[in-house]
Amino acid sequence: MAGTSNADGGAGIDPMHQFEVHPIIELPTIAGVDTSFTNASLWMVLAIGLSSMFLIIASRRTSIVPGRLQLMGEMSYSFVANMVKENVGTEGMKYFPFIFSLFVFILFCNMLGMLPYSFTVTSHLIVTFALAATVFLLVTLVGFARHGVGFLKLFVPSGIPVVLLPLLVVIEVISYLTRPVSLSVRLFGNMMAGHTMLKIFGGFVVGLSSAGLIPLAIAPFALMVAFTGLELLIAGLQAYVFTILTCIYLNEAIHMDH
Amino acid sequence: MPKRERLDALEEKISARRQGQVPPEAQARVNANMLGLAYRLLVEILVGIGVGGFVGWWMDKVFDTKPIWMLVFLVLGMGAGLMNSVRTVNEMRRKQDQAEAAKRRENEE
Repeated sequence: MAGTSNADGGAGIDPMHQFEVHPIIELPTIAGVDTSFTNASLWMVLAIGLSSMFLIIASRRTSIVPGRLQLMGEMSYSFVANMVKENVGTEGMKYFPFIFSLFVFILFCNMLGMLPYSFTVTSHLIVTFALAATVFLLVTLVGFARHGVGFLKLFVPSGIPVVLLPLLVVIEVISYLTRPVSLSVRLFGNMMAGHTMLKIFGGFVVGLSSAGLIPLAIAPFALMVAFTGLELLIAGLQAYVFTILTCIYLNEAIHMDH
Repeated sequence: MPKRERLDALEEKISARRQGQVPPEAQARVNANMLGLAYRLLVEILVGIGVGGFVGWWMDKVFDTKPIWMLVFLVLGMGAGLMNSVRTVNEMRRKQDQAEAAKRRENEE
């Protein structure tokens, strides 16, 4: 994101301004929940729309020798499919549609956030936490559906003296509960820190050059270019990390080889 | 052939020099990995403490026993965070060993 000054203008460039959620279409509050269509909703809808469009167009006219778009679609498919097969095994392919949607949604949200004037949905903890909580619920339900009460054995480490067992079971349960939190905090932290940093350096460039010190503005500008590249890498990498951790958790729920 | 031998000797000398020397891009990759690992461990421990504290706070609210459970669960949360980070490190080390073994096999072939 380029360093754009906010409504206050001048030197007051607020690096956190980009994260503000404001309603675009005001809608009534239903059961204590504000249902307004916000800029966050807009960018989520855009991510879903664009990713669906990309995959539909990529798979519409398929040929044996794929075109550029078809190749991109096929590569993203086989990338996630291999990840699921390697980390969960063939039983995991049942959950492939969920994992693939998750990967594509996060990737598109992250990448759309890199456009100037856009809004990064994944830089909000509540969004990443909702995604991680969905994963957590799915994994827990799959575990109980496949192993019944036996899934609780996951919390009982083997080869531990009976005296220590209650303590370790509590610690294991807490450690299980930290999963959705650490999953969401990792994605949120990376996205928010990166975008704030870009905005701060952007602010330096704008501030220094508007003060007539254009030669001094070159250094932060160069850094910003480098950080933009790094941010693009992080946007892809974090989508990958989120997906692969989902696969690892799913594998544990299905195979329980702890 | 003397030329062949000379080349072999040179090759040996170069590989002897290279021993213990890490190419810069590999070093950069290792540094990036270490940074990622450090960040992951930090998140793991902080989240452990946070979740432990939250569970304790919630139990205190339910049983009206402020602040006993919160203190107990803060400590347990630290334990959970530490356990998670140890697991992360073990996982990383296993992966690294696997990668190194694969590389060695490739070199031998």
